[in-house]
Amino acid sequence: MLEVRKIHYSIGGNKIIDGVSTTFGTGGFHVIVGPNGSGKSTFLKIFSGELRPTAGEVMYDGIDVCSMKKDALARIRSVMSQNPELHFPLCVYDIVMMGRYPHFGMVHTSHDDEVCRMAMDQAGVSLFADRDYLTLSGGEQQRVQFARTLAQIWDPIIGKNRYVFLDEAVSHLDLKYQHQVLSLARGLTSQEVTVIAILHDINLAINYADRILFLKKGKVSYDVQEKSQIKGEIIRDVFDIDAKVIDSGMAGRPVIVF
Amino acid sequence: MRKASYGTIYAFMVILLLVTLFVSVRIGAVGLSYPKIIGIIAKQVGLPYSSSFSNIEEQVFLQIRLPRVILGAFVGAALSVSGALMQSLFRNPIVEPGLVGTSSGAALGAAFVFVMGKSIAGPYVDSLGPFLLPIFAFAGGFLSTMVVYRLSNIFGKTNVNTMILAGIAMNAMANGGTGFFSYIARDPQARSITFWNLGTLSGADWHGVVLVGSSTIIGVLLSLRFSKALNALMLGEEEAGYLGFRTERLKRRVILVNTFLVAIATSLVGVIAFVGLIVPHMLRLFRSSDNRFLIIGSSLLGAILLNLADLVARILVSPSEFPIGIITAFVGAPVFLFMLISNSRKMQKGGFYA
Repeated sequence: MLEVRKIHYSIGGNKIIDGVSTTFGTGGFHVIVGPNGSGKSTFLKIFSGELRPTAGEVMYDGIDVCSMKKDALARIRSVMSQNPELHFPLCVYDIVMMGRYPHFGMVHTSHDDEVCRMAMDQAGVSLFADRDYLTLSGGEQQRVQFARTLAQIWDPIIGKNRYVFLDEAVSHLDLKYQHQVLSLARGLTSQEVTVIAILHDINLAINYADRILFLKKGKVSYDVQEKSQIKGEIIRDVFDIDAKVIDSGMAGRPVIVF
Repeated sequence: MRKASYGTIYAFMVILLLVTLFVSVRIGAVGLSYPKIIGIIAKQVGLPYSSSFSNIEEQVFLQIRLPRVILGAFVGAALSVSGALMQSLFRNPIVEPGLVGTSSGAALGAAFVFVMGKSIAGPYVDSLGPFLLPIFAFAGGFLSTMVVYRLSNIFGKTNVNTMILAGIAMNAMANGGTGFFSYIARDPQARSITFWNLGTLSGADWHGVVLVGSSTIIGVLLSLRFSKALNALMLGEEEAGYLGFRTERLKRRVILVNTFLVAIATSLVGVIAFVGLIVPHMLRLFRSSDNRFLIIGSSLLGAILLNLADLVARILVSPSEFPIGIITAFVGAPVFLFMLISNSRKMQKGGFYA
C-alpha cells in the first residue's frame, strides 16, 4: 500500500501540489487524470521518490520513502516517464537490460537475460532486439520503455509489494498498442502489483481503472471509485469542457462524449 | 550482419596496440633496429644477447624512447576515457575535455606552477616539485569544468549552445591567465609554457610514466564502476534516479575522476585536444554506446591513436619534432565540425538539443 500524507510542493512561490492525501491500495489500477499544469507529473515524481515534497510524507507499506535506499526502492518500483531522450545510438536490448540494473552488480546473469526476453515478448518488441533505439518510431520506442519498466519489477520479492508508475505511457501508441500496454499493466495487478498511471484519455481511464483521481490545481478534486459515479459535471468542473456520459452498452462502461 | 563480440574487438585492439608500440619505439631522431632493441631489452632482463649496440643507443631507447611511447599510451587512454565520461555526463556526443575547459584550466594551474613555483613553495620547491604541478593542474581543471557544467546544466537539461559558449569563455579566460604567466615569465619558462600549451611528449621520463600510469589505471578502474550508472544516465537524470542511481553524487564523482585523469596527464604533456572527442565517437559508430565498452575501448584505442599521432610528430620534421597537439587539432577539429553539422541537422528535424 502506498500512502501519501498532506503532500505540499511549491517551487518559486508557486504551489504545484497543495495538500494531497490519499492511499493507493495494493493490487489496484489507479489512474490520475487532470488538465495540463494540474500537477500530475510532479505528484508522480513525489510519490515515486524522485522529488522531495516541501512538506508531507510518502509511505511505502508503512516505510517513509526518504528513509529507503534508492537502489532498494528501484527493485520494487519502476517508472515509465513521458519520453526519455536518448542522444546516443544504443540497441533495444541494452535499454531493456537497464531495467535489470538494480538487480545485478557488474555483470548480468542468465536470469536477467531471460527476464529481458520475456518482457520484450510481452511488450511486442522482440523483433527489434538488435535494432538501434534511435531508428524506431515514437510508438515503438514507448513499447521498448515499457518492456524496460516491466523487466525492472519482473520478479516478485518476498515480503515486498511492487509498484509500477506510468506517466502518459501510451501517448504515442496507436489504438491497438494503447490497449495492449494497458491490458498488460492491468494484468500486473493480478500479481499484486500496484499500478498508478497518468492518462490523458478519460475513456481509456474508465476502461482500465479501478479508481480515478481527478487532479485540479494541485488538489484532488474528485476521487471516483465506481464508474457509475462519473458525471458530466465532474468533467466540466475539472477540464472546463462540456461533456456527457452515455452508456456504451458494455456492462458498467460509460463513455464520455464531448 | 552479426556485430563482432566485445571480446574480439578488445583482442584486436590489444594486438594493434602492441604492434603500434613496437613500431613506435624504433622510429625517431635516432633510428633503432629491432635486433638492437631486442638486445637492449635482453640485457636489461639479464638474458644473453647477440646484437651489438652503442651506449648512446641503449640510453636513447631506455631513457627517451621507451618512456615516451608508454607515456603516450597512458595519456591517450586517459584523455579518451575522459572524453567518454564527459560525453555521458553531458549527455552529448560532442563534448571533450578540451572543449569544456578541463584541459585549459589544468594548463593554467600548471603555468602558475612553472612561473610562480619558486615563490609559493620557496626552498621546498625541489622536494614538492613533482607534486606541485599535478595538484595545481587538478585544481585549475576542476574549477573550470565545474563552472562550465553548472552553466550549461540549468534545470537538469544540458544546453549544448550554452555549454560550447561557456567552454569558449572558460578556455579564453584560462588561456588569458596562461598568457599572463608566460608574459611575466623569464624566457626559458615562457618557452616551456608555449611549447607545452601545444602539447608534447618530448619531456617523457620514467617519473612521468609512473605518475600518469598510476593515475590512468586508477581513473579507468573508477570509471568502469560508473559505467552502469552512466548508461542509465543516457536516458536522463530522472530515469537514472528511477533505476536506483544517486545522480547528484554520480555527477560530482564523474567530474572528479575526469579531472583527475585529464589534469595529471595535462600537467606532464600539455594540452592535447580532440583525442577525447574522436576516440569514443569512433567506438560508438563502430559498435555501441554502452559505457563499459566505451571506457575499455577508449583506453585501448586512445593509446593506439595517440601513439600514432606522436609517431607522425616525430617523423614529420625529423630529426626535430612537431608538437603533438597541433596534429591532433588538425585531425580532430574537422571531425568536431562534422559532428556539429550533423547534430544541427538533427536539431532541425525536431531533435533534442533544445
